[in-house]
Amino acid sequence: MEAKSVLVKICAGTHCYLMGGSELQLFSEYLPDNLKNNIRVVGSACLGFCDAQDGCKPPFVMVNDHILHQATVQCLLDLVKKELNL
Amino acid sequence: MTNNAMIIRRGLLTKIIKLLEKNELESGIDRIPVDFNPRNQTSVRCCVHKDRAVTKYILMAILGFNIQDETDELSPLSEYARMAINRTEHSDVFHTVVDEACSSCRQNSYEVSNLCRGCVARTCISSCPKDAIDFNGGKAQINHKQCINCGKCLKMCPFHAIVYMPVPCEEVCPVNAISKNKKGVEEINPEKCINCGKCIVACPFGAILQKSNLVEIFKARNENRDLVAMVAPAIAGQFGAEIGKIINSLRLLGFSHVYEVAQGAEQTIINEAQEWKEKMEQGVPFTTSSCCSAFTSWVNKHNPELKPFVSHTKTPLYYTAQMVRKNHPDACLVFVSPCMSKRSEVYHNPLIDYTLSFEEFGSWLVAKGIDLMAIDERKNEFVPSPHALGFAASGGVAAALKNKMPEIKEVIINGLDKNNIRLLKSLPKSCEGNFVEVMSCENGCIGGCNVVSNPRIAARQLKEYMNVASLNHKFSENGTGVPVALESHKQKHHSSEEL
Repeated sequence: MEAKSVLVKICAGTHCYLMGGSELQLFSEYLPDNLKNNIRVVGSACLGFCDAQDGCKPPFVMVNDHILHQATVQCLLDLVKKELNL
Repeated sequence: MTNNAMIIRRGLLTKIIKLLEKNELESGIDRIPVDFNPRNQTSVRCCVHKDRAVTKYILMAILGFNIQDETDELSPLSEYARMAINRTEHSDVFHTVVDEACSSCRQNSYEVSNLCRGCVARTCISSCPKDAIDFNGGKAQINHKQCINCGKCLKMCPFHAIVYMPVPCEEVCPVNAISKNKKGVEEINPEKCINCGKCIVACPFGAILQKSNLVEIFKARNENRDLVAMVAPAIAGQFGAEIGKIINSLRLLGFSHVYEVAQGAEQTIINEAQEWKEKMEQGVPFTTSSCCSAFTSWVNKHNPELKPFVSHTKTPLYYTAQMVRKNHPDACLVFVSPCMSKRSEVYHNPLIDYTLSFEEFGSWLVAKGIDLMAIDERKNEFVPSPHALGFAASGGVAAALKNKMPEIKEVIINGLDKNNIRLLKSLPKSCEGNFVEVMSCENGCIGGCNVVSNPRIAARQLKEYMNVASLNHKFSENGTGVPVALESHKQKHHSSEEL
């Protein structure tokens, strides 16, 4: 079976960056070596979720089609692994 | 490292700035504690009411008040807002402890945890020099009246059952300036404090806050005074944004001019090198840098023996302010700063009006909905040399000087912690170099208590800006006179690029 690939889009907009997103800039370094080939991590301009009045708070990250709010390195790793069916 | 206490503080800064922008501070501020801690949300502390009370006092600090100055607990925030707007006097105390938020951590101590197996060996007892441990119900117990916190029992216990519980703010304070009052709440002794800001970062309850100048800055703007920003070199490592975007964003916030303090650093380098040369000729064994105000304050308050070695050269901010004040005699000069101790330098320098921390600057951007990723760059004519920019990181001042004076042998003090203080104190007796660079914060100013970026990322980004600056300077030294456009060497930290 072909390994699933995951696109991680980290919002680098100023709002996310200020509210904890700055730490996510180091996310690639936390990836285990065996997963690195399946995961593409990119920075993104404001994803626009911070304006929604739905109680979700920055920093935002998109993992394929899923939106993660109040993202931390740890919960992002968990979601990525889930997405890879690990 | 960003933590939840910082995120709460930044959220509150953003709310205050939104009100200031709309000129509705007085009418809107009483609502913030309730809006910020709604009844249906789980509380951080014991209950939503405690959270609201703490929020109120954090806001008081943001308005620039000492929490200890509260005379009537019933005074609403709106009253403080009015007082802040009308205030003309400021004190030289730059931070305040929110006693309501201070959890009164237990005095640092060793404790026996429930992992104690009540073993037969009882090495904890035999290792204790003060006979402070006995057994009760089959478990070890420490008698705190006798315990001297030596930690020997912790090392000896085969089950790791003994833990050390620190008081985080006291633990990081390099000068023992913070300690408990009779109620167990931390108090800062202004006679001892060097404004290094380490306690602010260390407190896990976010109970220590800087008194901000935000109200004053907005007041100056409302009085139609020109706002002029002077940005510290460390800004180059913040927000993942190029300096051109930072400059433009400050213009969008209403600053009429933006200067880089790196410009003043050029003067510091020249004077520092000259002074170093003269001192060497006089037979002085070494000189120290003087740009870190927490360090100079430490020398003045705690170690005057080092005074003869501290250079008299002024800080980059000093020279920048001198130049900027000439260009803008009536403007309101604001230093955009990663640092807490610079609040003191700004206070004592009549040429500079106020300080805006990096964190406050970021919150202002969020309040105004400005996204640094989405705006254009705007460049200054002046492009600093890479050496001047280097002042933002540990080792940078020495490197800049060495570039001028290759015979310099540097000693780098990266952070004023207890070990480095011991080293500094020994220098007059024996110093392995002839120039000592001291920065109070680990990593230098990019590790300051007001930074937003992780210092590792900041260091990387600063380096890139220094590379661009170095190319630029090579070109102008070649006499081509054509500055290399910053765009051609974009820093790689944003939109859809691999991280």
